[in-house]
Amino acid sequence: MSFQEHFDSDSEYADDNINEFEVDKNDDQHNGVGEKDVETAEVSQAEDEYKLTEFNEKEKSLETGETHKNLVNDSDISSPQPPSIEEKDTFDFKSFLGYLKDPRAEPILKYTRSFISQILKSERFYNLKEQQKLLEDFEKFIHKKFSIYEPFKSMDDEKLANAKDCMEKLLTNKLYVKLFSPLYYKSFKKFCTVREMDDASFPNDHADIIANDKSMWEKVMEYGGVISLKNLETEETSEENIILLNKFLKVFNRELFKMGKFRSPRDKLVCLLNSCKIIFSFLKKRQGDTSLSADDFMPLLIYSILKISNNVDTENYWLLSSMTYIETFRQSEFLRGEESYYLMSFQGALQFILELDEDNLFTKIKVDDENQFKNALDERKGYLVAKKIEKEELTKEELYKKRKEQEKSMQEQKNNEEEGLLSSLLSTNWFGSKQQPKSTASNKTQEQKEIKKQILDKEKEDMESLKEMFPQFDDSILKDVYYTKTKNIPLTIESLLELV
Amino acid sequence: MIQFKLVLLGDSSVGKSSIVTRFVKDQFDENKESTIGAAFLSQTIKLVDNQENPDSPEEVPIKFEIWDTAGQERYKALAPMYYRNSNAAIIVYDITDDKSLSKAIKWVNELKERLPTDLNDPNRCIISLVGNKLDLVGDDESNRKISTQEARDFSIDNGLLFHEVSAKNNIGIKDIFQELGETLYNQHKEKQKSKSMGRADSSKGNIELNRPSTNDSTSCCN
Repeated sequence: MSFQEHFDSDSEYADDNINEFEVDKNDDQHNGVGEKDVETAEVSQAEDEYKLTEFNEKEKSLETGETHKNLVNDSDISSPQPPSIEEKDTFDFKSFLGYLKDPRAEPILKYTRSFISQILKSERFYNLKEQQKLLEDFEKFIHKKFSIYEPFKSMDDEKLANAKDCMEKLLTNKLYVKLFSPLYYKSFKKFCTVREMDDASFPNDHADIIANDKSMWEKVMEYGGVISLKNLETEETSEENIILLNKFLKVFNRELFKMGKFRSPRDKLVCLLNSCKIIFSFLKKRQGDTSLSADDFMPLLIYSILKISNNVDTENYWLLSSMTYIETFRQSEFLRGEESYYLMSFQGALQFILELDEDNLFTKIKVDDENQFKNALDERKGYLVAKKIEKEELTKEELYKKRKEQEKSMQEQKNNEEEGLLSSLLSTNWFGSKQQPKSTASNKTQEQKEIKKQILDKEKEDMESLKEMFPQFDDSILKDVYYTKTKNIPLTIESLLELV
Repeated sequence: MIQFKLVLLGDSSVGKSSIVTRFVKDQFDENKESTIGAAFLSQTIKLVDNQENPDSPEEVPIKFEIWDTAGQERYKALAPMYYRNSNAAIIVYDITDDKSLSKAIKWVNELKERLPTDLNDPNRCIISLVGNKLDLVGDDESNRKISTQEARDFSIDNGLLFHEVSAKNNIGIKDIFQELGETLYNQHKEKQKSKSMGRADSSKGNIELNRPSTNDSTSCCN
């Protein structure tokens, strides 16, 4: 999907966002090949034998088909960890789904299903607070049930904690369209159209978040084009270091953009932490390990977010919505000190950007020549307006044509199963007995090819970024470290920094 | 393990981060818990509790979670997000900079306004005022711009803990944290005691204290 397209359809942003998630599921191969399969398994009906068998098959075929199979270690293939921040991450969603399928756990599965379908079916539009309470109450309830039914009953603390964590992921994955503000708004609009009502009210808190997100994005586009590191009072950065920083920022962007591809608060949070890690990696490379602090980190975080505008032309980051979503739906027992710290820093940075305006500008940023800065800002704004008009000139017909074409090509890329997943997610009878269309043998192979290609593309992209950041290393060294770190970019960068 | 949230405040030039870096690096710690970067650090210290049983003192580990804040004036507005729910605050100034104490005093006043700091409040945030860069003064007192007396008097009047230290030469650093730890631990015990006697207010206790330890092997950050 082109970024142009995103930008063009401002009024239907939520629509695009939905599409984005759809497509993203396809290309999301960044952290081990297991990822897609798990997404598949988890969004599909957990009890569906067919799906799970297929899931295992796919995994096997990938294992043998993987080009670098000797370099990819077991955990890469078998553990379904979405983004992971540490190598010895214990999060294990796949086994959780397995436990849930255990006949003895049937009551748990039933409670969960009924809860999810109730919420999906509900025609009431809950506000954020109410949703938080609903989920918390259900989680509390189901945690109690864990101590009654096997196989959860006899689990040790570690496994039980994993089960609680995974239950959160399951619930939020299924209920995502009802919980994540931009998508929630989209389903609200749909509901109003179907019912032909226009006076139904969308919950204020969700609406505010969306409004703030849009206005923050405007600030990023406007101010991001003109604000320099110096304006934010960071340590003197040489020309050479700024070039280096831009390379790190590309990776920062990629990590951050991934956040939109995941549905659970946990996975989104890991993406956020990874992007913070990238910033620290740059700081370490610039000034060594000594005395790094919030004085260095905070301005650079703000700068990095502002500079998203350089690399991407889409407002679909939904950063503020994502922060609120994580904060609201991540269970507090899993939101520990360090994680809250960086979540809060991100919120602080976004707040800082959101509050930028011409009246307070020079108290918030440091500028030598105020007039010069104002002129640059006006110029930037003019440029953005011109660009907007240019886009508006594209007739609706062209837009329509473009979209049709795009839909067509997307249709071809996608396999039936993925479609089934999305429609099952969006439809209210998610637990209905309708059988999902089965993939045919031919598009299974097609799908495998697709996945392989995506993995290779992703690897290529990663290697290019690494080469840019560490030109002093031989390709083979970069590759070795990359594979040793199971293709986790933040960890790779960290190890390379140690080698410098 | 009992853990406390500690926020670090002070101008960017006073060396607040080097105080923490010094403290964290000098302690023996087999599991480094900070995985992202240096803006958030955690460190465990051991206290000796012999109040209950003077003959067999008990060793109590407590953990600090240290939240650093950006010291530049322009980021001051973000500080409340960080000090919310803090159990303790270290406010740092530079004894060789005559303006820095007044800035520290502003932080003290802001915290007193927005956090529970009353001596009798069981949830009070304990503040330690710390004058850094003792190494620059040495024998030559002429470099000193803030007298010990002035800062100490202010601390006593306002119920703060007070230290003059050198992060560079590692003078007095450990004491800041040891004293804070003991004060926090005593406060914590007081609170537990009054709770068990049933006369504690049943309002929400300190959330930080009830959180499971990050040492938990299931943490995704281990």
